[in-house]
Amino acid sequence: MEQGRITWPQLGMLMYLMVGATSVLIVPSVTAKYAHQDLWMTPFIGSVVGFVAIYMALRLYRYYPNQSIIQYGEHLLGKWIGGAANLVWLFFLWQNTGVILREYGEFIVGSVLLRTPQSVVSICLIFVCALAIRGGIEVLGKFALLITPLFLGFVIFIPLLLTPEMDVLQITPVLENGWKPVLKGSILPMEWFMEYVLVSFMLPYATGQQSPWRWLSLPIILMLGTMVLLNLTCLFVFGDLTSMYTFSVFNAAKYISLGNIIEHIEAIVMVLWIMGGFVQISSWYYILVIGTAQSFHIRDYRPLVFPIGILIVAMSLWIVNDLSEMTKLFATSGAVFAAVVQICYPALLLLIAWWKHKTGETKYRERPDSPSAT
Amino acid sequence: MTYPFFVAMCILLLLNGLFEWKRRRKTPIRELRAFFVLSALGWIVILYMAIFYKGPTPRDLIDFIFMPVYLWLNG
Repeated sequence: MEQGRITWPQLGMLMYLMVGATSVLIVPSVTAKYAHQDLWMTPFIGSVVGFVAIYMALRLYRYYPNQSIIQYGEHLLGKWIGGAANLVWLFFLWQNTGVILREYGEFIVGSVLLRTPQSVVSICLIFVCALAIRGGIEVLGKFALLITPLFLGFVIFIPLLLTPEMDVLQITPVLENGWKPVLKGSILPMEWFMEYVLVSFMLPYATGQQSPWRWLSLPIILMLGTMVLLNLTCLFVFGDLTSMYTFSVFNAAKYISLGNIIEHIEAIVMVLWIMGGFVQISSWYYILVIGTAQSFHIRDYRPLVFPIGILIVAMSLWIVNDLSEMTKLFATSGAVFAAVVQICYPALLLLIAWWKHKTGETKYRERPDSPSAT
Repeated sequence: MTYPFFVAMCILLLLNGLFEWKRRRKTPIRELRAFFVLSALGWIVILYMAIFYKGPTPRDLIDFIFMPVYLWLNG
């Protein structure tokens, strides 16, 4: 299957970009619709789900080392139910990867390349991601380690450079309408933080003496800080108008002007976003390819990369008609689907695994043609 | 979805097929079968998008299954 290995820091940075690159695009505007001036509180509630997801993934990994959720899912639930559950997981991965690609396509076409068909942008991005995936997980890990400091730099510098434009009184009144709007607004951050359970696909390829828990908690903490900082930035700059902009942070970056010399920073922001988006789409794409190979017991995943890329491009243009429908999907049925697949199903598996280990039913015989069989 | 998109995706599928055809001797039969099945699935999806562009989408399926749950949770 995958012969490459990545270190725990590389995995941590990969997880940070895998979850966080699109969250900075649309989370501020969507959470502002529900939570208004309390939108900065929503990531704190959402991050709890992230820690739960990481805990479940690491606990299951301890029960079944060198296995992903696809493999031990089939073992715990049986061939037919486990197989059906794996198909649902693959559909979820396919649908979500398509949605992420669509988000980026909408952003690039809506902000910069106004006359370029979205399919062209999507195909170009997927082609580059496919080449990276055929190189193996090491390519993704090393690129993530390279890009994450730059991405974090932009997360810190954008608010710093926007300080002259900020009005901190926009944060008041705090909890004007109570906790209900905050809880409603935290659904979207929760959906993003749930995605940390996908680390279960990459845990078999992580190596090193470092502590897994430390290096997998770090991306959650970084993501929490990123969301809070950028939510506050949009709130202080735009106030109530935050929900009016689809890409609030990008629009905020347009206001940066220091001494009429440092201007049009949004171009640099765009470059860093695209690089972060490349890591995110590549990671989801890689997980979909590996998941497909593991579900159908295929040893070499490389021939599957390009056909799955075509499926992802098709899904990105098929799933929704426009950005407003996508936002509605995130806030309604999409949130329930994500919770069922990413929280309820791993929790069920963890319960069954704990019970089996408690009662001593720990025999697991690998199929001879299994990719992880020696 | 537009017919130029359908034609472009068909060309990409053909190019991909050509790429794997050159490597077919080095690729095990199981992987080749998976490649053909996924390529066929991709072609069916883009054909569906070209013909039934106003038809049901995956979002409709997700809404059909999970929207009642969402509405029930919301009260």
